[in-house]
Amino acid sequence: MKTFPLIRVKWSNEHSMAAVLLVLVLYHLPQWLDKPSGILSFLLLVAEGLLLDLSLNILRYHRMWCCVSAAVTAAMISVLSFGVPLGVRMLGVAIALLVGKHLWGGTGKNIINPAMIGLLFILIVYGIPYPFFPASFLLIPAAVLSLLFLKIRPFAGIGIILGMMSALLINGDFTLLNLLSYGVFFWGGIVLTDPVTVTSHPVAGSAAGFLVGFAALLYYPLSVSIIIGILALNLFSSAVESINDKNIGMQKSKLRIPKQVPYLQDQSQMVDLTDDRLELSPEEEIDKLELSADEILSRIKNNEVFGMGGAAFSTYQKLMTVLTARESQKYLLINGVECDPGLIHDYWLLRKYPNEITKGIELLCKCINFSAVHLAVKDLDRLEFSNNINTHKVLDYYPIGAEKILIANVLKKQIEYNQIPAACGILVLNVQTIYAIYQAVARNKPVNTRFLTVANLKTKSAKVVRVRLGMKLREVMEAMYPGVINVFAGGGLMQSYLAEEEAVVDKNINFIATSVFPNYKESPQCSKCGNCVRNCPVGLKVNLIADLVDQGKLSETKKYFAFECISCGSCSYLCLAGRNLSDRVKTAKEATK
Amino acid sequence: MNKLTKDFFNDSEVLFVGYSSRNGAYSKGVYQAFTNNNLKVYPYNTKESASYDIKVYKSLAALPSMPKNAFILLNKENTAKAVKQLIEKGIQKILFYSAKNVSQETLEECKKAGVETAAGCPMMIYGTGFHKFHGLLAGVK
Repeated sequence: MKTFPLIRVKWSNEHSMAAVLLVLVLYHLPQWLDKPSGILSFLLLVAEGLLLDLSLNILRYHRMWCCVSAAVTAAMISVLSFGVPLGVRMLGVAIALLVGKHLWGGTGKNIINPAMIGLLFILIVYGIPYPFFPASFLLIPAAVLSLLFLKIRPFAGIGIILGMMSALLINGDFTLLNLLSYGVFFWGGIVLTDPVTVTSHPVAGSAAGFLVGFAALLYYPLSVSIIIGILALNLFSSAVESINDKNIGMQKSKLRIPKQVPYLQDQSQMVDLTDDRLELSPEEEIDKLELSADEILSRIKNNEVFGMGGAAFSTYQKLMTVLTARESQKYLLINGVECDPGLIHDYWLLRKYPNEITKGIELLCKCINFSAVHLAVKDLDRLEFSNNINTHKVLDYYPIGAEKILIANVLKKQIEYNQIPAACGILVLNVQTIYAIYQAVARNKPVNTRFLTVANLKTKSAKVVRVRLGMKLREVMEAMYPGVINVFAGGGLMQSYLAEEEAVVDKNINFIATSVFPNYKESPQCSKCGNCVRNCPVGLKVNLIADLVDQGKLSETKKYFAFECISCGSCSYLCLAGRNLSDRVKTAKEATK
Repeated sequence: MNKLTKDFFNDSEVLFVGYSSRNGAYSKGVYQAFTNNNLKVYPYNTKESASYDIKVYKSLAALPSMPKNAFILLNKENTAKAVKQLIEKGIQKILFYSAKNVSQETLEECKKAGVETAAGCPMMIYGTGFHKFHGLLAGVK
């Protein structure tokens, strides 16, 4: 069953390439003011690039894929070869796309910048005047906007800017007009920020960029020096990236995904679809029951309490693992973070049932001698827990609620990928699991109901609903939002799947929603933007794993640690090519377990 | 055969005949566009070996209910076979992906059975962006 986030970022490869194209148009302004017929040449070159790329993409993929990158290549050749006869420039665009791009397999697969190949061809057959740009202050807006792209690949871009500036300083040519006419910000912001052909490695990127820029302007500034320099840097980047394929450790970036539905403000707004009562009868009151640790454990086991955060693992087994762990210090960490942007029921439970949750914690403390009890939440508002429970407000990023990430944040302990937190003496339980322990022990009856979030993402509304395990998902949805067609379910909004007609509420389901299908256009044209890798909480080389899965080479994904994936869905949410990457990594994980 | 109009489908359910894994991206796109517009879709493909990520019915008998409207994405030969089956099941409206995918005899058969027909890509009505523009160019109203 394919899982995917029900929301996606609005940005795509097409958007970022369109922004580059716009800046390239601005770079043309002084040339066009001098010679307005240049506008027509520009349009012809761009049209040629688009048509050629479209035709080649249709041949390759049998679909019309975006060709904005081809327009960018043509525009780059247009601005850098101004003054060269149109026929030669058109030939340059064709060579760029055929030799620089499609010969390598198309967009995202080329290791060299296509425009540089086209320019090298023009340089050889005709020559290109240097400097590339006229000395004009009209280039300032384009130069300033170019710097924005440094966010994509900062190191090589900053390197070349500093290298060129150093050379100009040494030569005594350091003026604003020289910076503009030698295209210092153009090379740094537009050319060396291309994620496909430029390394993301900080040291290698900045050193190589500096060398290319410095060498290009130090002695005899020539167009050939910079073009050959950039091509050499592309080849160097490819070599660096091919050896830099290890797992890069826990993520450093903090992905923020806003809540897609509002929290319930009125605490009485829960909808109960079961015929089961929630309040305990006097004889069931915990305080009146004198239960030993063994009796509590036995009730947890017999009543089949399970992890309600989505894993559905047996709570009894988890407790026994902690109990038998050799660690001298044991911790209970209650996960009330609810980092998934579609869930609201844990937030509601913490505020509606603080006494019941506290009593559930006390029951656990009777069984295991914890050194400390911690409760992790994102919001402290209206929380009422005793001082014996250390309440932590954690940073609001996704997926802060993932078990090992939460432990690292709250307890400052690193749990390795091959370690189980429970075996290290750390019991992590979801808020609802604690509530279920309280109910199961007090009532001594099997856990067969649960709270979950039912949402309508079209109207941005959600409700906390109590359901019986085994109820039909469609029945639940019909009770909350009658007449809807699409029903999705899963552990949360970020790990949903399209529910079949007869599907029922099982132990793993935390979230049921109706929504439009998110737009996964599944473009084969990965631009190597690096969003998936940069934001993977366990630092996987997601793009490489996904490519291997697409090629059917599942066993090879083991070398990229696909089995460490926590299925958070961040990569699918962020992919600018609209690829459902998390499902591919999940496939690899299942194949290499 | 009628010209495709926005209100061609007059029911909340559609049978999608020929939902194909071979043409997966398009089939999925149409499926999603239908459902995003509150049409309940029943994908149908008789090929047992096809693999899908949504529930695809392999026989008309397996359908929970028989929709009154159908969209057919098949070649001419298979369209003729499917139409015969659908007429037997009481279909009222059929949208063919293209006029090239349906023979004159099949259209005659539909006419005799009182089945309303049209041809065109449903994305022109139910899709977004470029598809809507395509619809505009094709004069879909």
